[in-house]
Parts: sequence; C-alpha cells; structure tokens
Amino acid sequence: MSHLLEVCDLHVEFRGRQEAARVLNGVDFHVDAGETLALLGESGSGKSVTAQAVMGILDTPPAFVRSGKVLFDGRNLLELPLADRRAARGAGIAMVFQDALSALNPVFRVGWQIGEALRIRRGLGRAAARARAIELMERVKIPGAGTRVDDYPHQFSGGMRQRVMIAMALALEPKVLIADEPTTALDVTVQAQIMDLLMELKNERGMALILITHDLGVVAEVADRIAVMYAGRIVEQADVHDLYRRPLHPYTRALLDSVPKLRADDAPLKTIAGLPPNLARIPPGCPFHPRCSMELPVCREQLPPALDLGGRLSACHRAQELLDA
Amino acid sequence: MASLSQDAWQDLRRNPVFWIALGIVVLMLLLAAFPALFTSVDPRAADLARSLKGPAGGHWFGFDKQGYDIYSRVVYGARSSVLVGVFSTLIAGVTALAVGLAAGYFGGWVDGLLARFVDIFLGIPLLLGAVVVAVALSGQELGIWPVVLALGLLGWPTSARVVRASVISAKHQDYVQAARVLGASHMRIMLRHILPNALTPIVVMLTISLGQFIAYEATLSFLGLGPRNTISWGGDIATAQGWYREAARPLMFPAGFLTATVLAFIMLGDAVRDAFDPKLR
Amino acid sequence: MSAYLLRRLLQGVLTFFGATFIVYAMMFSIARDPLQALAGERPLLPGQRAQLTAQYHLDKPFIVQYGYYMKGLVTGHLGNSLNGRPIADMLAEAWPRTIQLALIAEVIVILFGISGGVYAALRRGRVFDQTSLALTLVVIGTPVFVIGSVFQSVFGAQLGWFRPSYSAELGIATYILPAIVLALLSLATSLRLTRNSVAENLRADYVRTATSKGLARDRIVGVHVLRNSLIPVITFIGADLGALMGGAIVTESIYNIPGVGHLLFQGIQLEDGPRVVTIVSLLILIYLVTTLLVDLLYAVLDPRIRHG
Repeated sequence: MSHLLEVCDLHVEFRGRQEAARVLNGVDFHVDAGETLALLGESGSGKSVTAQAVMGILDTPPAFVRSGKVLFDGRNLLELPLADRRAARGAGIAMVFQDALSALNPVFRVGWQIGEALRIRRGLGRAAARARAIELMERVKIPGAGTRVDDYPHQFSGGMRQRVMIAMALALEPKVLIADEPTTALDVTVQAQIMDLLMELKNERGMALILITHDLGVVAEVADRIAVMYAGRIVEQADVHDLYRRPLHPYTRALLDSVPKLRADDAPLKTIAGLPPNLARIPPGCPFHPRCSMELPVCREQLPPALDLGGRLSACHRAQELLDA
Repeated sequence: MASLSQDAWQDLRRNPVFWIALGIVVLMLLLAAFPALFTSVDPRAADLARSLKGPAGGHWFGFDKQGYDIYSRVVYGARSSVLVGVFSTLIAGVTALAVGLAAGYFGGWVDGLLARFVDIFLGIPLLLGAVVVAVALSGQELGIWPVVLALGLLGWPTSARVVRASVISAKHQDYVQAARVLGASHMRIMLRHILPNALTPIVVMLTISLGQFIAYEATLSFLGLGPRNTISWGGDIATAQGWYREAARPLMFPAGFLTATVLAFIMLGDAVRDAFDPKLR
Repeated sequence: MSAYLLRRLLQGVLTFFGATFIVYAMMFSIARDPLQALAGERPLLPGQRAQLTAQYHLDKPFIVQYGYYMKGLVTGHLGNSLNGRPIADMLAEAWPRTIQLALIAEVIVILFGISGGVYAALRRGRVFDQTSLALTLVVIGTPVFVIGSVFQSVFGAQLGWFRPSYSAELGIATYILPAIVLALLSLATSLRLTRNSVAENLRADYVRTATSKGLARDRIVGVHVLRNSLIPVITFIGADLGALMGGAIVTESIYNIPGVGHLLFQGIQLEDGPRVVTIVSLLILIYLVTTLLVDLLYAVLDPRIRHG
C-alpha cells in the first residue's frame, strides 16, 4: 500500500569550506491523509531540515540532498522537473513557519499575500482572490477579517499573524500541511488556540499534518504517531500511546524523564548529560552512545538498525530488551 | 577582543588590497614630506620652449603647456593634498568624536539635541558649504586653511553618527556597566572603557574621509578655490583641462596620482573594516 | 501615520532654518570684511559698498539680515549680481539646462544602477559581480572632475565619440556625455547598495515562504525581493541629489553647459560673491526640500514606517 507522503532514506549534508556536516543520515517516515505525525527532537536534530527537504526549500548551497526519495502521491519529488516540483508546493504540500513576522513579506498586505497563490497559480482575478482571502481569514478565526485583509503583517499580534500564515498555507487546499514549530514563538495561552485550530482544520479537510516540535506536551495531545529524531536519524517511531507508555529507545526515555510532572514529588528532574554530537564528526556506532545510560560495547562500534517491534520502530541495540522488560 | 583583533590582523596580512593601499598611502606621505628626494627638477621652472614635449632624459612624464616638468609638478602637488586631508580629518575627527561620544554615552535629551545638530549640518552638501567658506575667506592670504576649515567644520556629521553607533554598542558591554557601578567618572568611563572598544569603526571612517577630503580639496582647487600660489593636483588638472584638445598627458598624470591616493585611503579603510567586521566572516 | 509625518516635518523645518542660517553666518561672519569678500580681490567703489550694504541689509542686526535674506530667497527676490544683472534672470535662463542634464543623469542611474545591482546580487561572487564591485570602487574613489576631464579628453577629443563640449544645436544629445559623467558616482553607489540589499533580501525568510507557495523564482525575485530591496535604494537616489548638484557644478563647467552650475562656477571665477552665495543657498534649499520629500516617500514605500 502506498502512502500519501513517504520519505525514504533521506540524506542531507551542509557543505562548508573545509568539512561537511551530515545533518540527515537516512530519514524514513510516512504519513497518510487525516493523520498527524509529530517529528520530535532537540534543536539541531534535523527536524526542520527534513521539512525543508520535503518542501524543496533547502538553502542550496550550503545544503545538498545526497540521496533518498520523497514520494508524494507515488512520485519522487526530488526527481521531478522544476515546474512539476513547483506545482507540488502549496497545492500538494504546504508549510506553516515558526516565525510568522519574518516569514510574511513586510511590505505587502496580508490579503494580497494570502491571495497571491490563487491569482498566480489558479488564475483568479484580483477581486475573487481578495474575497477568497477574506473567507480563509474568517476560517482561521481572525476577527474582522473583512477589514484586516488590507492590513500589513506588522499590524497583527503574534497569534493573529500565525493565523494569517495558516490561512495562506491553506489557500491552495494542500493534502499535506507541515507545521514547523508553529507555536514556539507564541504565548502559552495562544499556543493552545493555534494547535486547536490546526487540528480542527486537519479533521475538516482530511489533510495529513506533520508537526515539527520539541514540545512533548503539545505532541501528547495532538499527534497520532511520533517520530523521535536524534543527530539526523529517526531513532524511535511509534503510536503516541505506545511511545509514552513504554519508550523503546534510551533517548526517548531520557526525553520523557526530563519533562517536569506535576506529581513528581519523589525524584528530582533528570537532564540528559552531554550535548548532541557535532554533525561534522558524528562518532562511530550509535550517535547517542556518549550520552546513553544503557551503553554497551557494541554501541560504540555498530550503528543500530531500526528494528520493527510489532508496528513500532526503534534504532537501539537494546530495544528488544526494553520491550521485554 | 584581543583574539578578534589578532584574527583581523591575520586576515589583513593575507589581503593584497591592504598592502597595495598601504603602499600607496606611505608613498604619498613620503612625496608630501620629502619631495626633493624624488625629483631634483624645480616644479616652478617654466620653459615655453619645452611646451607639451614628451618624456625625455630624466623628465619621465614630459612637459605641460607652460613647459613645466609634469613629474616634478605631480611630486610637489602631493603636499597640499596630504596636508589638507590630514588637517581637515583632524578637525572633523575631533568634532565627530566629541559629538558622537556625548550623544551615544549620555543618550536621552543630549542625544536628541545633538541628533538635530547633526541633521542641520547634514543638510549642507559638503561641496556647496565648502564653496561658501572658501569664498568668504578668499580675500585673505590664508593658504590651505580656508579649505581645511571648510572641510573640517562641515565634514564631520557622518562620522559622528558612526561614533555614536559604536559608542552605544560598547556602552552595553558588561565591563562598562561594571565600571559605572564601581563609581568611575563619566570622563574616565568614556576615555578608558568605551573609546578603545569603539575605535576600529572610527579609525576606518576617518581613513575613508581622509581620502574623500583629498578629493574635495582637489575639486575646490579645480573650481579655483584652492590655496593660491600652491602646486596642487586639482589646480594642475584644471589648467590641463583647458588644453585637453592639444595633449592628454598633463591631465592624465595628476589625475592618476589623485585618484590613486583617494582610492588607496578608501580601500585601506574598507580592508580594515572587512577584517574587523565579524558579520562578513 | 500622522505622528511620523508631523515629527519628520518639524525636523525638516528645523534643519531647513538651521542649515540656511549656518550658511548665511559662514558667508557674512567669517570674513574680516564681508563686503570685500563679496567682491573678491577687486577694489570696492563707495557706491558699490553702499549698494551691497543695502542689498544684504548689513546695517541691520545679524538675525534681521538673515530674515531678509531668507525672505528674498523664498519669494524669488534674489538681488543683483556684482555686474548689476538680476540673479533671478540669469537663473531663469540656466535652470532648464541643468534640469535636463540632471534628469538624464538620474535615468542613467536608475536604469544601470538598479539593474546592475540586481544582476550582481543574483550572481554573487561571479565575474560580473566581482568586476562591478571593483569598477564601482574605482568610480567612488575618483573625483567627478577627474572623470569629467578624462572622459572629455578620451571620448571627446581623442576617440571623437562625443562632441567634447556643449553645443546647443545638438539638442538633447549634447547632454549625453556630461550626464554619464554626472551619473557615474550615484550609479556606482546605487549599484552597490542595490546589490547588497537584494543579496540580503534573497536570504530573508519570506523568500522561503514565497517558494513554498509554489511561486516561480522570477516572480519571487521580481516582486517580493525587489519591492523590499528597492526601498533603501530609492531613498538613496533621492537623497543623493546633494552630490548630484555638487557634481553639476563641476560637470557643467568642464563641458561648458550654460546651466546653474556653470553660473556658479563663473561666479567663483569672477569673484562675484552675491551670485555665489545666492546660488549656493538656493541649491541647499532645493536639497533640503528634496530630502524631506524623500523621507515622506520612504514612509509611503515602507508600511512599517507609515503605521509605526
């Protein structure tokens, strides 16, 4: 069975003057219509780069896709001619960025920016595009959309600006929506509203949603499946309940342990010792081994493959052990 | 900070533009200080018999319309340019430092007041203002000073803005805050802590303005407002321009020297700025 | 919107009076004998002395003198040149030529400065970019009168591509070489400015957003990036009028174009103080009004300022 979007063995590197940083080292995942997949990881783990590679908006140079496939509706986007690739952007896969203030063009009215793709790609007239922009702004619950359509991005509050971004991403009715840390720059109260809105829109339109985040709380509430990234790899992938109930990778366990819990009266908060590896010099073996509390000699020598453990994946030499425990 | 300036020096050392520009600047300073080292020909010895003759035995650049030795004129012409450049940069630099330091350090209403003051001076295009000063002082035999005064008194506002900006960024550094908490006087904080850290952009700015002042001095001389009875590149270019149909050489040599000098100062400033500006690394 | 406008207008008025006052003060207070300075080295006849005193109200207190002087400038009562001709008449004849020259120069600046800058930014680090950076640096470092004289000698006299000096019967064509000379400095600066501005905007986040909307690169560069990049360039070109006027004095005198700059140049040569002071003041006035307009234009172009 083929998936709506499938990423296979994706490798991306950043080429510097002297050395190359391997930011993605074989990323595999898929997502289907109506499903929410969370890409979870610390900053520098490669989650945003993955999204950019899927969208085809990597900054090249320095970033280069070394190998892999991005299959959308069965076609490999990485091999499509430029025009077809462009056609897939916005209409097939759309993206919501983290910082709406810099992601929106400061000198154009928001309505113009929302309607731009409709005018250029769908051939709508000025008035029709504007009317559609107002509808979209109403759909993302911007109060007074009819007048605010002519405002500029800097005139909106952070939360409203992110709604504008979402309206813009929805303009061409994409099948996949990638949201790259959509709430990180916002106040906590606004964060929940934006997440609710995204979920609502996903359900209404049957889109696939890829949510990129480092926030375990957000993930627990909205995601169906979670892919945990570390050093440019997906180290664990599972259904959200399975993952929270029984993480099968020491990194995931450490991440979950580092979240403050309200009832955590007994144990002090745990942190993960050490730092993520320098991606230009990833250590041999499992990239997590220098920080791992369950490290074995084999971890220093052999890169653990992703093991299928009954519908879930873990790239750890001791995954089976963890499952059986 | 020390490592940053070491890095900058490493960069500069490997930059050929820096060495070429520095070489030209040093050469021009030598020409200005010791012209007799470079030529034994009297730049004021006119001989109409040699009018517009080409290069010949020891007279490398040939002769101009009046029969002056062009090489000797070019060598002796450096002095007026360099002197005007140095003195007007001194005046403009001191003014810019005082205004920029005060505005950046004290902020508030002092900054607001000085900003208006800077605006007013920026409202006077340098060449036009300098023409007025030079005309006002033209009746008196003051040598290079009217031009120096005009450029020095009107040419500081842009530098003052640079000083202000670098002072503001230096002011917020922790050790400056610390010095202030420890009760150091304003004067001491400004001179000991802020100025040394704001120095690079200021020196760069002044180097570039020195080149520009030399260009303005030559332009004023070209317009007939330069020092009288003084050999200058601008004046010689003006004279040669009158005979451009007959010969290009009397025009090209002083023009080449002038351009090389102005460019050298600008490139020197640019090279130092590029080396120190971490953004471009 | 109105707050910015009001503040800017107030600043403009202040700058206007401050700058004209300084220019006036420089003319009439630095000199030991302002009357003699007006006349240069020639001896002043008693009649002339009285006439100049009356023309500049030099018997009144300084601030009153300045008031009269400003009133004259603004109302067009510009007084007489030392040779007795009304300065206003001389200017009326000269203006159109200077404006033609400046307009052609501006067109050259906009055409080549902006397109060259955009092209260099799109091919950063390539041959065109490197060459234009080096060439523009040379232009910036070369005084206008040097470029003017050298071009006149090379392209006018030696190669014969252009008539080396003004000839009225050629019509607009006579301005081409001088306009190129006049334009070069602004062209070089605006090319560099455009290049840096476009290069910076090409890296902006909104470019990524536009790409992910599925827009073509031409549209992203031509609409999104250009609109943002040109704001500083347009304001620079407007504000650069001061340099252009200084350049016009030099250019017009080299190519003998009987415009305002030439009039000023002649005034300097003839040591005609009243003419020089009046023309310089007028030019500064124009400069100040233009910079004010440019600041307002900036607000029109950049919504962040307008709704600041």
